[in-house]
Amino acid sequence: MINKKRAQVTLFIIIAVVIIGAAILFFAFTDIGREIISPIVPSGIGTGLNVEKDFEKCVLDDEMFNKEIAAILKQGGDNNPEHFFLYNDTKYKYLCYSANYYEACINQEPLLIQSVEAEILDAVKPILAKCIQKIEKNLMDRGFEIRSDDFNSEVDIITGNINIKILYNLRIKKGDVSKVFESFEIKKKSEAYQLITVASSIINFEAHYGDSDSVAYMSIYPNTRVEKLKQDDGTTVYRLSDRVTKEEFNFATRSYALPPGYLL
Amino acid sequence: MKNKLIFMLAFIFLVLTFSSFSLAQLAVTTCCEKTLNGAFCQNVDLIQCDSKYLSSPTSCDSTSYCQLGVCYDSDEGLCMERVPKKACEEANGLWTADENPPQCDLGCCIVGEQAAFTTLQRCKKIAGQYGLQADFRPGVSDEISCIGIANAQDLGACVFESEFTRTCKFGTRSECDVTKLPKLTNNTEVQFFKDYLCTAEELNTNCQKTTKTTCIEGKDGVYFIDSCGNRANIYDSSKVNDVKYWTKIVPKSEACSSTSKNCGNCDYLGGSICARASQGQKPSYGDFICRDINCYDTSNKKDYKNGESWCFYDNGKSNDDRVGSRNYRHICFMGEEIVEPCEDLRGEFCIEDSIEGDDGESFSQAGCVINKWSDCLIQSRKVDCLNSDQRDCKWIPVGENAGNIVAGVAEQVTEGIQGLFLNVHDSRRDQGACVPNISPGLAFWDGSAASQCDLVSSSCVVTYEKGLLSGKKCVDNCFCDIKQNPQAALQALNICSSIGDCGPKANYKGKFVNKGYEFVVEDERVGPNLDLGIFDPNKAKQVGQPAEPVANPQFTQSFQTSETQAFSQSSQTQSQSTTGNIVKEIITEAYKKLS
Repeated sequence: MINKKRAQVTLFIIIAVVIIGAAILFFAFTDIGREIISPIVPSGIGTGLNVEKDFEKCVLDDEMFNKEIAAILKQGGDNNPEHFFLYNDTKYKYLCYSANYYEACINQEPLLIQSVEAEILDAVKPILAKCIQKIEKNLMDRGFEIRSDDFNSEVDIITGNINIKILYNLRIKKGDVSKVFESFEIKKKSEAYQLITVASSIINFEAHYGDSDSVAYMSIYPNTRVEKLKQDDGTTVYRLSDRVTKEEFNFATRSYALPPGYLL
Repeated sequence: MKNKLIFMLAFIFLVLTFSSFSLAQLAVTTCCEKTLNGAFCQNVDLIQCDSKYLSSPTSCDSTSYCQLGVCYDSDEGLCMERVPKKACEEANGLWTADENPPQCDLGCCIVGEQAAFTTLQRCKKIAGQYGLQADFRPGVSDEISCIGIANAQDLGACVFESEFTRTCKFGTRSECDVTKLPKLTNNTEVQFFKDYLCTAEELNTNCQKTTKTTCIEGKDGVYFIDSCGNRANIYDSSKVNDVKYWTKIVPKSEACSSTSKNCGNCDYLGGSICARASQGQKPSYGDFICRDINCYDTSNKKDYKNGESWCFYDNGKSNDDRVGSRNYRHICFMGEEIVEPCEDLRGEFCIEDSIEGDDGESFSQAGCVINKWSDCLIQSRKVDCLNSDQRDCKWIPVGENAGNIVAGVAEQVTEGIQGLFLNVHDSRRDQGACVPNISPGLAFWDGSAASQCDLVSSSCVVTYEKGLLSGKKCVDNCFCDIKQNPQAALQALNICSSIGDCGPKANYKGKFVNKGYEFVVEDERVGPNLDLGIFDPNKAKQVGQPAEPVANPQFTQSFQTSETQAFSQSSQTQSQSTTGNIVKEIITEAYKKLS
């Protein structure tokens, strides 16, 4: 009877050892395991994923980050346009313009996507810097030694996303373990690429024919809403928006403007 | 002393010469490579040019630095037209004066099941974004053929082994390639089964049927998806467990035909498209339904199909040229009624027509077209006036064939008459006046409207003979005696109000203003006091309402919104402010003339 009990205890011990071993293996050698324990193990240099996620969260949750991008898109891809049409208190940048009557417009922003990327980059740099500071402070509070260089960043607008790559050399060390981060990448869900591509096509059309057909664009891109509003001075205001994300890209053109009256 | 005087005179001469030269230069239109507000290549005043860039007192068409060309974006593969060299270079693009550079040649880009008619670089970019390989075919010359190629591709199940599991990926034959499949087990065999779904039992893969559905990019309908995430056939709740339906591809034309919660065979052109279901619209399986995207009970109380457009006129008539009136194009798209205003001041008008479909149903199409009115007044021949290919004018006859208004009087008119209306004595022109069919609005804000209305002001000398016993008797140009012949006055007013916002006219709200003109006989103004029958101001006041002049706060007449139309808020605000200003100015002009 006693032997039977001993055998049972031994079996339980073996099972417990196996379970604990499996758990250790799971948390030490699998990505999911490392991710689960990283917030509760301060020394874990397996916290690399966490630093990246914290940084991404810091940027994406920043109210100004989203506001700045939305404002740039609403103003024709420019944070502070110089040449614009004011409509409902919003500056609609002229992307194709002719000051003269009866003349097709001249394309003012031929590489629109790159231009918008540059504007977004300028606008979000202070936010990135703020988040870097926050992450560094957080790591130092948790006992890490930190060495870092100045950061550099680039923005890439692609289908479905605005990607921001931060080239930032961060070395963290605690005890004998250290980790080096060379770059961070933030992906913001956005249909900006689709809207800007449609805008580029409209500009080409306006420069060529002096007008464009919103129905044709909406038929090809059902998720893109095109609103075209002609103004008194020959300006056409375009408001492009995504029907799902509700993002807006606005701009103005002035092509083949007609003079009022008899031009006496 | 003498030298000093000469020097002073020379200095003054030089100053005067240079200053006059500078002033002259300022007045001349200059081609600025860039203006101070950042616009490239504009013909503006010199003062607006950015001094850091080139400028010359000539048209930009004549300069080399503002030559327009194609700017190539080597990253996106896009070619932008009519771009000045400087604008392209500053944006790091590749500029060429060649209208059709080779890098902008279009071809057929096949990416998966989709096709795009675009440049080679653009094709690579698109394929890269979807993680696919670009299949670019430069020989295809048009978009329709390109789409045809994409649709003709073989579709089926691509079976392979990944991480020691037999699995499957649904797609095109070209996608079923060892180099394009993920995590392949070494030396695995890749097999393509045309027209088969990954859930086909005979393929023996790990992909199983599910009740999940999804929308597919480029497809109208709701599709089942299998446990591996592959597309299956169109969603049909009755076929969830139908083994046959999960074995081979069922063409759209043979799938279920309704668009209810049990069927996902949506038809974009027919007015339905795949969309996520909202609360209360849940389908029997999955989260997606065919959403109705037609428009019902629109602003004109009619129903329209997705993609249809129609015209909207302030007074319901196509030739509305009342002061402040404007045409609008309404569009039905994705279940929403979108309003597009045509050019203001009747610079454009809206036309519509409909196409009869095979099913007998009509499809309405509308568009704003340019109102070609500007050269109407200089047309002296009726045939030129009514040449609708060239202009949008109408002919108002004056003479024998002018109907009962002035018939028979033109012969009496000989000389002493000036002005468009009464130029009937001129043998070089037809007897009548050519005026815009839809009169344009005038530039009321710079005060030029009054002088423009004067274009049709006319004067006429009527000769009377006084008998010894009887009173005076008209002998020459009797036609112009508007006291005896009030219909001639009507004719004159008709021409006057046809050339623009001139003369007696109603505003877009229907308020008729019997002002804006005057008749003077022997220096005595008889103007609006002349009883011309229809212009009774008391009667006119009963019609319509005045439009609210937004720019003038002192103008306090009431504005009723009961007639406002069901268009978007932004368009509405814009329209009201504009039309209100025109009405205000016309009334102001009328008062100025009469005071």
